[in-house]
Amino acid sequence: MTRWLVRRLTHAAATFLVVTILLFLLMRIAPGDPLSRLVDQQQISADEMAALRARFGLDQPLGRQFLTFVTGLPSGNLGVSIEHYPDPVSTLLRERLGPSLLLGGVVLVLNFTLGIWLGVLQATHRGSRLDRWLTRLSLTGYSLPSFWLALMLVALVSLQWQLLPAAQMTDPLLSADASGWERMADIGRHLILPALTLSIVSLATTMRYQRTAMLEVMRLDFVRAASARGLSATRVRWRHAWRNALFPLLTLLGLWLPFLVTGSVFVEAIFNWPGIGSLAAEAILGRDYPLLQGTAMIAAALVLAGNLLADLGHLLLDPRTRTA
Amino acid sequence: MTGAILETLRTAWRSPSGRAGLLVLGLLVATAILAPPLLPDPLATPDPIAGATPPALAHPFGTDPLSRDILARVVAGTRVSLSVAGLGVIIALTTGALVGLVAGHVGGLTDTILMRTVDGAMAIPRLFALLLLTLVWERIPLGALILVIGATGWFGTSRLVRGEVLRLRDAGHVTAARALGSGSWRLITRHLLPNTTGPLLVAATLGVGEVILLEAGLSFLGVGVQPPTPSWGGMILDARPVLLTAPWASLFPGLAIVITVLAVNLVGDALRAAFDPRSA
Amino acid sequence: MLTVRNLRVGFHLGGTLVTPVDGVSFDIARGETLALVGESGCGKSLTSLALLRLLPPPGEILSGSEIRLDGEDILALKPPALRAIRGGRIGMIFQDPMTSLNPVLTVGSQVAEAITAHERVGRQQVRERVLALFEEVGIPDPAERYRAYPHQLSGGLRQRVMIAIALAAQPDLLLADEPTTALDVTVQAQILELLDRLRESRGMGILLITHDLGIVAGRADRIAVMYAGQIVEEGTAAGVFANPGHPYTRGLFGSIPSLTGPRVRLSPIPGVVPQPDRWPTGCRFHPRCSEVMDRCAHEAPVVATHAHGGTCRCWLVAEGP
Repeated sequence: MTRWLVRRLTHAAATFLVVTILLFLLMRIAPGDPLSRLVDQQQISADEMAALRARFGLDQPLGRQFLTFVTGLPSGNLGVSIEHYPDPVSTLLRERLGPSLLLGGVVLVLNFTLGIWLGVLQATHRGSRLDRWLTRLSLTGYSLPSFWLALMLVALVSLQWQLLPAAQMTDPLLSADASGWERMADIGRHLILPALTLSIVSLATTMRYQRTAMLEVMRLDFVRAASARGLSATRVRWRHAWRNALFPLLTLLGLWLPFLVTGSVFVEAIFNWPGIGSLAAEAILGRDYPLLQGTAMIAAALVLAGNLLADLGHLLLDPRTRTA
Repeated sequence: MTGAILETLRTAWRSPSGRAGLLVLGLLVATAILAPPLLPDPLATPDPIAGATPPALAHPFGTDPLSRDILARVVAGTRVSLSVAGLGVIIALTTGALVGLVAGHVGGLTDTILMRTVDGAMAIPRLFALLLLTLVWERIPLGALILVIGATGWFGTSRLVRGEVLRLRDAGHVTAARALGSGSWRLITRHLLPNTTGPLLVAATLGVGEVILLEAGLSFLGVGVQPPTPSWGGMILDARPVLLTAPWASLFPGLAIVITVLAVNLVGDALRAAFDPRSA
Repeated sequence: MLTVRNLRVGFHLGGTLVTPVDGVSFDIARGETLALVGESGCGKSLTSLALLRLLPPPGEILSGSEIRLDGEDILALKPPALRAIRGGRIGMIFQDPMTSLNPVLTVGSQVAEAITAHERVGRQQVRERVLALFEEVGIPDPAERYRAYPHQLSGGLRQRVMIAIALAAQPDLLLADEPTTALDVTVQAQILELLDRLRESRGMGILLITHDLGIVAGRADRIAVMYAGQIVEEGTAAGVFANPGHPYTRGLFGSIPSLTGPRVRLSPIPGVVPQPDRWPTGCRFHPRCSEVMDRCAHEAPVVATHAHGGTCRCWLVAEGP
């Protein structure tokens, strides 16, 4: 188990190094350097430019630049934003982390409770009309562009019917002495539409994972053996089949980790949700390369961490690997 | 290869939902090819002062804020979207297959370097990779957009093909074929391709759906298909300021995306079910 | 106790109906072991699954079939009453104890749930009963094993756990589907020994399903030989062993009894059991039969009484040689 962990961590570290190199190279593909954009926008003199270059280390050879970039990473140094100059990227990301976690967390809970339940329902009614229609419905959700769905919901629910707020996380007009409950209810109202949008477009994946995993398990001998014991269908389904159909979902859960933190670029941008996703959208508009790169770096690190955690969770939850 | 594609189409046709998807796709492609001469110029702005007008006989889908005919633009957008997605996926598949073949066939250090790179590249979410790449251009040309989409979509394919090469290398019939003096190329065409076309075509079909959504998203963010070339995502971006006053301007391009992607996914789903009956 | 009449199991495959179990009838009395013998693919396992209505979909029991337990019609039972039979009055053990135990649950909890599914008992009491069952089926260190996961036990111990599960609710009848096929030869003997002992101490009936006539000798009271969905010979174990009537049974024994010379060793029966969708006309065994006659290919043999007092589905027996 320790050896497995060491091997797995080494692999993740090596992969992260590759990610770093790739992202660093990506940044250098851009014509000129990240600062030239700044010059275009803000009309800086050549002297000032040279000073800035020296300040950001862009006058150094490429190898040295890469070294600076990499050695800065452990202390959370992701460079400096152009758009929000001179704020460091890491500070900007930290400020926006909370709202992304909130939105992502709510969607995650919705997605997994509903997705697991519907996926199991589909598997136990395999081939039925219910199964077919659930597949078609979820596939339709999967085929929706999230930004368009968000716009349509805003147009109908917020603008036309005026039921829910169209943007932001809180109501700026909320009185300063509002109670904690009122504040929570306010955030909750703002949360509904973005959470709904993201749940609709993401539900199909969880349902399919669960359905496939459940079908895989339901044909195994021990499920029939459990029925032969006289257990109820519900108990056989959940205690025996589902417990074993849980492991693929761990992988899926690992895939959610980056999303939880970086949020959805499109949905956060449309609802002006103050998370990292909308920060990334702002970075695109402002051509803020370092900021976007920093976000991508965080996302990639979390992808790797998610994979690692999923494997670790599998290891801990499966008695066969735990005690082997 | 043509045979494999025909066989795939036949497979998809056998399932009711796959058939529905194929019919819709066929209709969309036919419209995109045949309809433009019958429609107004998608770029013409006959009456910019009138702004967006609701659907009417002259303009069945209405006009956008610049008085351009939305139906004509949606149809033109179909051409753009389907070509970008189709070409992008073909580039991705070819690259992935080549890299996988080389990695599996050559092995050693080449294999290690290629597969480590793939590991790293797969960790970067595709949307971020695309955004970083498209931002390299001030206004990305269509050809570059296709290349960029291809360049970010081949990692999974290369793993699949490499795995198949390694599996075949250990399997008896390739050893036997090699003993009989078959060349590498013959090995690839006779043994590798037939074994991988199924999974590859499923991946390609589902990839087309994914890429249409990605391209629409990029265009919506202004870093995909550049105006004045009509694209569904770009049309929704243009219509955003008039979301409530001219809802048709965002509704129809959005519906076009949903219908196209759903049709593609229905076909992909039918294929997946056919190739993996246990999960059907 | 158990009465099975004209049991037919059907699968609708692509519009055609195939019947891998095609008109099987037998009885089992309390304290009696009936061995159901045949090669794999002849329908034995489906027969036992059908008794508990556990057929894998799309398999179904066709109308006209009859399964009664002490007169109660199992095929008419509603789900709750059926659950009371499953594991309650009829226990079942399976061929491979590794795949028949849930890998992520402790074996103790799997035995415990077999008890609580049928009786309302307190936690402590359930635990004590599980430990007693472990003792009874010969699992050493019961308290230690209670917490073990299936993969931590040997194949023999796993099968003992399966037997404990089957016995948990004191069944009247035990269905044992190839209970020793996945085990070592020495462990095989121990498990069979255990089943024999339990039958005597508990007075259960046992349906022992096997392809191996060797393990039947000295254990079964009666033998039913199955081929291609039908029972082709049935009789007392002693009678069938001494004087098998059907060429298939003789093939299974691997020897032909001869009145004059010594027993001649034969190779296994040539060929394999045909698939249920292409059963031969006439006698279903005729293409593989060493004593085939002209009429065997066209006319299905009638069931006739054989010299051993049981029945036989063969023209040789019906007509005499």
